[in-house]
Amino acid sequence: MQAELGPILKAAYPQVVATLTRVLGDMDRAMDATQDALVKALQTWQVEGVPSQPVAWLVTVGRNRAIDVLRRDAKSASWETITGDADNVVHLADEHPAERWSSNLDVAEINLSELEDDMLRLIFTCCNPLLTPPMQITLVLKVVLGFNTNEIARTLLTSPATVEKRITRAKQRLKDAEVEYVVPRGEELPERLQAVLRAIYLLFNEGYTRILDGNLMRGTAMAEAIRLGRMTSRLFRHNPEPRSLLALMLLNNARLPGRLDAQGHFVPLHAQDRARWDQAMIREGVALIDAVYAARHPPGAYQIQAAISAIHSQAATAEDTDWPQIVALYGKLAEYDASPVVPVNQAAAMCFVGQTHQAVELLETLAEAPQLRDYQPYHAACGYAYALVGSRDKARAAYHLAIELANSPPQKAYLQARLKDLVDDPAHESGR
Amino acid sequence: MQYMLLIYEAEEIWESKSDEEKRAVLADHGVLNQRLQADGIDYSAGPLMPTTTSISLRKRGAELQTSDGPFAETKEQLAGFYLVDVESLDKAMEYAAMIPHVATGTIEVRPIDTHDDLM
Repeated sequence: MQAELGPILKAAYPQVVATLTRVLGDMDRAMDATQDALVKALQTWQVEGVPSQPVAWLVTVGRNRAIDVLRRDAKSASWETITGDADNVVHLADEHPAERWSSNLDVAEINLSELEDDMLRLIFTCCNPLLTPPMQITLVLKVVLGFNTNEIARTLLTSPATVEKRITRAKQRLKDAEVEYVVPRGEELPERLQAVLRAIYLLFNEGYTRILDGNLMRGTAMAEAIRLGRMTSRLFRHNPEPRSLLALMLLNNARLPGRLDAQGHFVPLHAQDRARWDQAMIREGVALIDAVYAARHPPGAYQIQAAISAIHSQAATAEDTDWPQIVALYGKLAEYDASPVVPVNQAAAMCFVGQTHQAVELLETLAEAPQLRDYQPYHAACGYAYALVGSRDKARAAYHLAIELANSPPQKAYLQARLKDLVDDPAHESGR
Repeated sequence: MQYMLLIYEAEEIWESKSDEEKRAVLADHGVLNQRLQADGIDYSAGPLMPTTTSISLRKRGAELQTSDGPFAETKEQLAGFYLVDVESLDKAMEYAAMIPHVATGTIEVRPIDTHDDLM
């Protein structure tokens, strides 16, 4: 049976670039060499079948190809001095003198933990804190997933020129700071891992919010973020946060189809058709978060968010939702995430357990938070909570603000409908 | 004789497939399932969720220890299985060779030990 080569090559790509970057000491050279190796693999594997160790095969071919290129390019300077890791390359060049392009490569067994270290080096380099989050995402798409400029531009809904500029600047920053190709150690590691996870979640949310805005193209950003989430979950298998982030993304993605109706209008959680949620994705997300809890890890921000999403995902109806648990989890989340968005969500959940006055109180303590001034969901939550306690004028004012801030037509339409309810229904009762 | 057909494949390969490519693999499983039914073979089968969802247990003394992930950290992960009741290893291998992952991973064929001698 002849396997489709596409998925095998796509799966091997990040690993090959990661290892070649270490071996060749240069990311650009590694990407070029990987491309050459992929072309060679397509030609060879069609005929001879897939080798038992595709990654090792590609690394060997890519490395030898890069050495050929270096030798050819080395005119005045000796090629050893061009490379970042001359000893390594000299050593490698001597290993396979004659049969470099032979398909019958003597591929050395590559140590699994060494390969994983290379992947970590690559991911940490692309998400170096010297780079802005958009630069990090762009670099991850280019280097780790092997996207070309046009594909990145399509995924991030930006122009190819912007993508080029970001990549150039990012590389310059890494070069200027002489960033080493290493895995951060000790105290630095948790913070650096957070930066990686933040970049992945940002990529996911890029796609998520644009789909809610009616741009369906963005599905790829979410799919790639989930792929990166799987990758990091495996690489950091003893840390619960990557798996929790993966669970969170799967659960949010699974519920996305319910958030828009057939006309593309925003549907709030309580009115969603839960039959449209992706049950297979929910099962995997719930299994992930179950496993994290079963291993009794200390809580983390993604773990708690995933737990909240899991509760929503498993409830048969909005009424069946374990709202008290959600209120409690948001309270817990506030210990790990100082963002004022957390208490906004907690207040919204309080409205569903009859704690309407506490919800209003909590929302009012947030009134001065500068981050919330232009945050539409805050004003929408205020409108909702004020309406429930019978403060109709305040509710109206809050809804007006929310409508003004809503940046998508479906959101705007939904809020206008709520405001209309308020106006049309003079007998609107307080409390629940 | 019962044989366990264990499917090992690097998880990245499945993740790298498009939905269409994944459906094609499932269709190949469908062909195998139909063949097993047509041949009147007793069997069961199941795909496994990724190893990121697994948890490993160990009891040492009185303490039940849990750890994240699969027991073995390998390049290819256990992805699913078929349990077939057939008359010979040859037959088991014939079915194993029809599992689509044979082209991108490895199928391990192992007889079930009934421990009749100890019963």
